[in-house]
This record gives sequence, structure tokens and C-alpha cells, in this order.
Amino acid sequence: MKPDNRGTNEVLPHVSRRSFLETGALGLTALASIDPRAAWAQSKGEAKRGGTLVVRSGPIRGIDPHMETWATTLQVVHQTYNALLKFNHDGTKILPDLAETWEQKNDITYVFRLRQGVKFHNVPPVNGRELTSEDVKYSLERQMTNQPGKFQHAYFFLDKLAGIETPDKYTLVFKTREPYAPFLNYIASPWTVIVAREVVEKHGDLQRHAIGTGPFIMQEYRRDQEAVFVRNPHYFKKGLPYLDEIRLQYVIDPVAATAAFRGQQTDISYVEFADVSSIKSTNPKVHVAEITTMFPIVLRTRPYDEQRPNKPPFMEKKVRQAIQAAIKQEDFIEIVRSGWGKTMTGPIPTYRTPWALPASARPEFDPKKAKRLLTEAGYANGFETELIVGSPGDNVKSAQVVKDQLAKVGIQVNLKPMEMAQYYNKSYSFDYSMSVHTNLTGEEPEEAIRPYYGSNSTYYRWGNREIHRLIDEQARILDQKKRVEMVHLIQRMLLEDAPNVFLYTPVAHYGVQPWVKNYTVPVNAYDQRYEEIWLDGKRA
Amino acid sequence: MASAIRVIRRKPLGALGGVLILVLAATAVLAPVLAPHDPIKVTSTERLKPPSLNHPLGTDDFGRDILSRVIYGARISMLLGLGAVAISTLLAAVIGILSGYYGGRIDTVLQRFIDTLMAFPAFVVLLTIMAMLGQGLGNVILALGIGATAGNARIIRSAVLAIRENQYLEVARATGCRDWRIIARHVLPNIAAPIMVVATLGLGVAILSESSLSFLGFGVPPPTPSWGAMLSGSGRTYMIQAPWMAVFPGIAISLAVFGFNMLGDALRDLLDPKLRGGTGLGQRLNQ
Amino acid sequence: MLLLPTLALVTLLVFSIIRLLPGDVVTLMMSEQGYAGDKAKLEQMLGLDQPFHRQYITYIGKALQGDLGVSFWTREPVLDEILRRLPVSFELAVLAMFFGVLIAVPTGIFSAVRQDTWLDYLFRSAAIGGLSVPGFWMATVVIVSASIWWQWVPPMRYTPFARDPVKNLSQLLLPAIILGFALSASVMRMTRSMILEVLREDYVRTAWAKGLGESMVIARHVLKNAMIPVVTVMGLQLSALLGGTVIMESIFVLPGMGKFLLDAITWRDYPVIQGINLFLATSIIVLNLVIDVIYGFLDPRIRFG
Repeated sequence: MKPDNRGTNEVLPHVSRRSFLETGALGLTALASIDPRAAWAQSKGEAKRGGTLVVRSGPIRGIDPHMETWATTLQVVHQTYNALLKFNHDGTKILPDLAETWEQKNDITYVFRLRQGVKFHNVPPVNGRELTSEDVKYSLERQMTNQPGKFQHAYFFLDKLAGIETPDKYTLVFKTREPYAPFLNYIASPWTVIVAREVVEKHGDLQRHAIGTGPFIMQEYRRDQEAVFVRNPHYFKKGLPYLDEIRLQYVIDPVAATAAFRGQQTDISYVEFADVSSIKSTNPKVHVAEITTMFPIVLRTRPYDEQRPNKPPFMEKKVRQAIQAAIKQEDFIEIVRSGWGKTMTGPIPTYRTPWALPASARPEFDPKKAKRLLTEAGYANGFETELIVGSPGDNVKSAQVVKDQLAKVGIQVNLKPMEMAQYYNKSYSFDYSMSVHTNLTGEEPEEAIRPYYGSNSTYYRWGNREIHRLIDEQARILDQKKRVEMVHLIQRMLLEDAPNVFLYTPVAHYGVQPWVKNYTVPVNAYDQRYEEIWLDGKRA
Repeated sequence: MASAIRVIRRKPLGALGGVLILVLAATAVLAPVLAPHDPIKVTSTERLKPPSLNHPLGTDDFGRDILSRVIYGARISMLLGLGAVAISTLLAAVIGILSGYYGGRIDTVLQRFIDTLMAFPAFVVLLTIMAMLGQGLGNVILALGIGATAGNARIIRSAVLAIRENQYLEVARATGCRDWRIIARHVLPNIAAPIMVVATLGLGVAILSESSLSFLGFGVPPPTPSWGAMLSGSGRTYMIQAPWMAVFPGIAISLAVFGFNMLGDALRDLLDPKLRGGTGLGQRLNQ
Repeated sequence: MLLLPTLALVTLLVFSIIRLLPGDVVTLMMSEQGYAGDKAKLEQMLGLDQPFHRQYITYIGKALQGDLGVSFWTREPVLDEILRRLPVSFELAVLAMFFGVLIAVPTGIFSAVRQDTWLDYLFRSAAIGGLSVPGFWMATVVIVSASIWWQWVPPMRYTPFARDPVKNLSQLLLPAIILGFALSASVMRMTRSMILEVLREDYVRTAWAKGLGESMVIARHVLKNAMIPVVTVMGLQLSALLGGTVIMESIFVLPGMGKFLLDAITWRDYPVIQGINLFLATSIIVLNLVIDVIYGFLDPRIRFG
């Protein structure tokens, strides 16, 4: 096989044995799987205009970026809106979007200068007027409110921003209450897009309307069917987008989705790992990108805080440490994902250097130690407990592996799979002994920590005051080196205290048809920007 | 013995069905003896192995022996089928007979009740019950039983209606027979056939419904080896890589449903009291 | 008109049961937004702060005016959403029944008339075979094989029949046939079963004795009476189909009512669940009335009995 046609999985394992930083991340390797010179030439001026891109989508609940939490919302949002800043495809650099320049004037002040002449879509009620700093201010303040049903990721800025000033049409001055290290990362987050006031005022919310400054204008939106977008002729990036149209095709069943991709009905699609080798044999020219996801699978023990004190046996640290020692991460990766996963050293996925702990920090698999700890804690004969998990999904399989591994040290785990609504209910009322859960992380390291173990955490509750304090502390450290040390410290404390055992980070696959050019599948599944894609001839 | 052979000759498909069901029942009862391996033991080194001497039907993604899981799955299927049918046939027979025999206001009231239940699509009833009770084998059986009741009640009612006007019923009533006696002696045997059809169809439907419930995420929870879960879950995910994971439970389901239905068919033919020259079981019942 | 009490009963039943489902929708919405906000305000917005009977009466009042409320999660009017999805489910159900009957009734009659011959065995085995394989599995095998061998899948994008009948049918034909196949087995068995029963009735034997040809006997005497329970079964099938096509809808990407209802139940979207159930209940009750009328047509004894 010619080098430029070699499948990605022959390239990446070689790469991932060195550190990610060394090779400069996924984007380069994805491009390297095509002939690098060809890729350059293609992106340089041979781009062809026209065509419809069909992307497989999952269920969309609503498309208000400030209210929703699902990645599929962003699949819509990123076609129609822009943000001040955005990340590159592996989350290592911040790039300009609506902001032309930005600088940090001092510890608590940031100044942004907007591009001039950026127009909203020429669609009522906005009718193509220019975007100004007032819009940005409005948008961010909307994102910060915590009224029920009007909130998303408010923890980004809530209580952190002292004020947003707009000295002129194209300038914004942010003042934080105290030094706030995550600030720029949150501004660049895929969720922090800029919306238009008129649309909100007209419709009350943005759940069914998406009118922004983005490269595409939403033409049709049928929530559980499809969403259709057409090119925005007045997009501020000259020459972009190349595509005439984008269609997000909703296909829920993974087997049907893979078949649709194989049948060339979708151009970009999530692909089940079990189908990767067969796709490569039936459609050899297809590019299958491997992405280490940002969603680690976590085994949780009983949450607690002041209102909800912990209970035996999980209030014993030794019991939690015993559980941690009884878990073998590799088994999960092998059994649940057939090898498509990465082990973990803490809440932050290992590829996010320098924030992730080094491999040496990983808890040892030591069932003898586990038994010893249990005996020391007074549970020489083990104990019985219940584990809840949302069904259906991979986590049910992980739960079975947990049950199997813990049985070997005498802990009898009774599995209780429950339908999602019930599971979330129990999960968010923090009323369970053990659960298997999918955590969320982001480019900003504290996203993996604060919402779970912080003082005002919402997805989980851990009453360790010292950890709370350190989490608050690390956000104030602007010096990256010092902050990394603190974040490492917090993670080591979490490993020591062992409220959760980090099982693995799944590796996901995305199929891209050979005629889709200039697209690098981003590591952040929330990033769904297609503005630079062009098509070279369509399906056969 | 001679009559047994006669029966087999007359109803070969039914006999085949009977044999299949006997095999199924025997497998279910003798599972611990028959299964070569532990059906729920996780062995990561034995994953996705094709059929071999050690694992005649291969292994699944947890390294579990599929033959053993199919054997134990027979137990689950028997429990599901028998449990669901017992519940639904009992309830449906009571409602259907009362409704069809007495007619009038009782019929109307019961019919409204049936209509109400039937206004919900079957799977909605199933889902709602599962959502209320939570996952679990017992809950699935209960849900399947209740879900099938309304439809079966209607069928039984229509069968009762169809014979209600028959002459001998009028005669029996005219001679002052008690109602329950009439029902027991005349109505029941004559609707035994539809009940038998309903029940055996129901056995197959129960097993199939469980597989659909599994597909939607509401079936028997793991690691319990149910054929439906094996077929709709990992069996489907790995169908290209490891087809044996789905093929064998699928064959098991098909054979079981086939068997139940053929057996029911044959029984119906045999129990029909009007069957001339038959083995006369129905006639004996009538005396 | 006993239609109304039944409907009232249905709506009340649904109304109460979904509120009894574990998994409080308010908590769910709040937690999905990722922050513990003001619960009371959310409840007020959803109308859940009212006592139960007030909620029910408000709902019924609005429903009678044609307003089925808006979805909790998406704020879209429930009635619009239902009407958008109804044609899809309806078309699928009708096509499935068509294929089901097409396969079932002729084979059922044949099988009964040629009872215990090889033809009978063949048909019955085939029918049961079709019934024994779960629909989702048949669909999976077909789709995956087609995608591998011919690089073809049925279109995943729904086009209404009016706009493009060919595209519409190419998407719906496969799931309809698979559903029809599963249906046909029970209808076929019922047909055969009842025809066998009737074939032994006295009046039929009389017709034989009179020397009427076989097909005449069947057409004139047997069919009408045999069809009563068969019609029942068909009616049952249709009712089951209207809301029970969720699996086919998932696999073939059809925006029908089945999946809509499943999602609503999963996310405790009360107005949607209530609206769909009200809609389906009305249609099914009407359907049953129609079946009763057909009964009367087929068997005068029942009509006047």
C-alpha cells in the first residue's frame, strides 16, 4: 500500500507511543495520512466551490447554545454563529474568530478588538446589521444568567466577571473580580458563541432559531430529522465558505449510520469501532480518523457534602482506595472497546499535557493491596453494594467489568441499569452508592475538576474542603507553571482521596469520505465547524 | 402408544414443534448440567473467538462462552414465555368470557376498559410499566403479560360471541343449567381452540417482544443471558466481526417460536370438538 | 356516545401515570442545564406548580380547543409536531398492513383448504419462520448486507409521498415489507384457523352436499364467517402498528410517531406524551368502532343478536 493511503490506525499507534506534544497532535497526523504536499496544495487555492455536505447527526434537543448541553446542538450552532475566539483542532492554540486582536492588559483586564464590518445574516429580525461590541456584551451576559431554563456553562463566568465595558463599537474590555486563569479558555470555548438580541427578544429563546454571523444560514430545521444550511453570501471571511449547502442528517441507530456512510449517503459520520476494519475493506479510500475523546468513563462512589454526609462503607478512605486498587483499566479498554481507549492518570485525559499527571502517577492495579486495605478498614469479608448506570450504552458493559473485578476482592456489586431519565435523576440528586458515568472535560483543565469536585460543583459532590480550596486557588494563578503544579497537586489529592476511579478515555472513530477536502476531525467533539471544507467531485 | 404414533403421523409439524419445545424445556431445566462453561464469567483473553472445540459456538465480547449462554438463555426464555402467557391468558380469558357470554352492560363496561387499554400501543404500555418498575426479569414478565391482555381479551370475546348463538347453548340455558356450568362445559371447550392459539402465539410473542425491548434498552438487564439481549446488543454491534454472537441466539429464538407455534397449531386441531374422526379428546371433554 | 367517557378515561389515566413515573422532569431539566437554579420558577414555567386536578382541567380545556400545549423541552406546539409525524406512521402502517394481508390471506385460505398436505406445511412453516425472526434483526441484516455488497442503503432522508413518490417509497418499502412479513404470520394462522372451523360447520357441509364447487363454498359461506376474528386480529395489528413502529423508525430514519413517543417518555415530556396518547386513543377507538361495523356486515347474527 502506498504511504499516503495507509489507514490512520497504522500511523497513529506509532505516534501515540511518543507523547502527543512531541508530534504536535492529531491534526498533523491526520493530514499526514494524506500526502502532505497534496494537502497543502489543495488548501492553498485549488479549492472548489459548491456542493452539499451531508453530516451524520445525533438527536438534537434544542439549538440554544446558552441552554443546551449536547454536542449535537453545536453541530447546528457552529454553522450559524461565530465566537470571539476558537481553538485549533487539537485544542493547543487559541485562534481569532470575531476578535481580531486580544491582549491581557493586567491581571484582571482583557481588551478585545473586534473585526469591523461583520454582518449578521440578512434574515429578519436582524436583517444583516453589523455586529458590535454591544452584541458581544449582551451575549456573554445572557450566558451568565442562572435563571432556570436559561443557563448553560454559567460556571464559566458567573461570579468571576466584574464587568464588561464597551468603550466603542469594536472594543471590549473585560474585568474579572480577581485574577482568573481560565478566562481566555472559556472565551474560546465552543459554547461561547455570540447571538443576536433581536432574535431572543422576538422568540423568547433560541431553541428553534439560529441567526448569527456564521458561514451558513439555517434554511430548515426539523429537530429529529435534519437541519439544512445554505451559504451566507455576506460572510466576513472572504471566499468562505466553499460549500453551497450543509445537511445534518439525523441517524440514531449506529448500525444504520455506518451502513449509510458505507452507502455514501453521509460524508462525515461517527463510526462504530467494530465496523472500522470492514469499512476500510469495502471503502478503502475513506479516511477514518481516530480521536481520543474528551469524555472519560469514571467509576463513582457515593457523593457527599455538608447537607448529605457520607455513609459507610464509602466514607472510609481505605475502602475507596481498595476499590481503586482492585480496578484494572486495561481490561475495560479491551473488553468494552476492543482496545480503542486510553488509560488514565487522573481526571484530566493524558493527552492534555502539561495538565495531565504523568504515567507514573497512575494508581497501581494491586488486588492484594485492595484486600489488605479492606481488612484494615474492617471489611475483611468484603461487602455488598449497588451500582447504577444509564442504559443503553457502553457504560453498562463497563459496569459489568467493574462487577467482575470487584468480586475478585470480595465486593459484591449489584448492577442496576436504569433508563436515562431515571439515571440522571438519581445522579443529580446525588443519591447512590456507586455509578459508572461519563465525565466531560475541555481545553480548560478546570473543566475536568471544578464541576465535579469544586465547592459549587453540579455534576457530582465531594465534600473535601481542602480540595475545594485548592480548586478555587488554582483559578487565580496566572503563571502557567505554578498553576500546573497546583492542578497536579489537586489531582494527586483526588487519587489519594479516591472518590472516583478513572477507568478509561474512549477512542472514537469518524469516517470522512474521500471527496471531502480540507477537514481535520477535531479532538473536541463539541467543535463542529465546517466552514473551510470543500468537495472534490461527489459520490460515485 | 399406537395413538401417539397416530397423532405424530397426522400432525408431523405439530410433533416437530412438540419435540422442539421438549428440547427447550429440558435445556432450561438441565442448564447447569449441560453448559460447559460459566455463562457470566468474564475472560478478557478469550474475546470474540470463533467456534472451536473448546467453545463450540464461539465467545462474545466479554469472553463468555456462547453455547453456555444460549443454554441458560433457554431458562430465561421459558420463564418469560410461560410467565407472560400465564398472566395475560388468565386475565384475558376472564375478561373475554364475561364480556362475550353475559353481554349487555357487563360487556359494554368491560369493552370500554379494553378499549382504553388498547388505545395505548403495546410498546407504550410495556415502556411505561418498565419505566415505573425499573429493569429486571420479573418486571419484564409482568409488563409483557399485562401488555398482551387487552388484545387477547378481544379475541376471546369475539370467539365467545361467535358461538354464543349456537343452538346447544340456547338449549342448555332453556333447560335451566347454571351459568358457570354452561361456561365450564360448553363455552370453555369450544373456545379452548382460540385460547390455545392465543396462548401459543403469545409464547412466541413474549420471547420476540423481549428482544425488541432489549433493542430499545428495556429488556432483561445484563449479565443475565437472554437470547433477545444477545441478539440486539453486542450481537448487533459485532455482527460483521463476530457473527456467531448473534446467529446462534437468533436461531434459538426462531426454533423456540417455531416450536411453540407449531405445537399450538396441532393442539388446536386435536382439541376441536367438531373434528370428525379425530382422536376425540374434545369429545371426551364435552361429556 | 360512549366514545367520550373512554377518551376521558384514557387521558386521565395517562395524565396520572406519567406523573407517577420516577424521574422528576423538573430535576431532569435543571440538571441537564448543568446548574442548580431556581426550581420553583421552572415548575411555574412548566405549569407543574398547580395542583393535579387544576392541571388536568386546564389541559382538557385547552385540548378541546385544539391546543395540546407545547413540548417541555423544545417549546414546539405538540399538535403541529404530531401532525407532521402522523403521515409517516400512517403510510408505514398502511403499507405494512397491505403487504401483511397480501401474504397472509391467500396463504391462509390455501393452507386451510389443503390442510395437512405439503403445501399446508410449507406455508405454515414459512409464515412462522417470518414471525420468528425479530424485525430489527431482519432490517439490520438487509441494510448491512446491501451496504456491503452493493454500497446501497435505502435513503435516510424522508420525502413526503406527494413530493416524490419514488423516493418516498424507496425508503418506506423495506420497513413496510418487514413489518408486513411479521404481521402476516399471525393473520395467516388466524385465517387458516377460522376457515378450518367454519369448514366444519353444518351449513358448509350442506353446501358441499348440494354440490357447490369448492371456491363457491369458500367465497360465499366460509370467508364471511371466518373473517370475524381475522378482522379482529388485523384491527389489533393496525392499532399496534400506529404507535409500535418505533424500531423500524429508528433503523430506517423515519420521523414517525413511534420514536417521537419513545423520546417523550424517555425525557418525561408530559405534554407530548399526553398529546400523542390522546391522538392515538381517538384514532384507535374510532378504528374499533369501524371494526364493529364490519363485524355486523360479515355476520348478521351479531348485528341483530
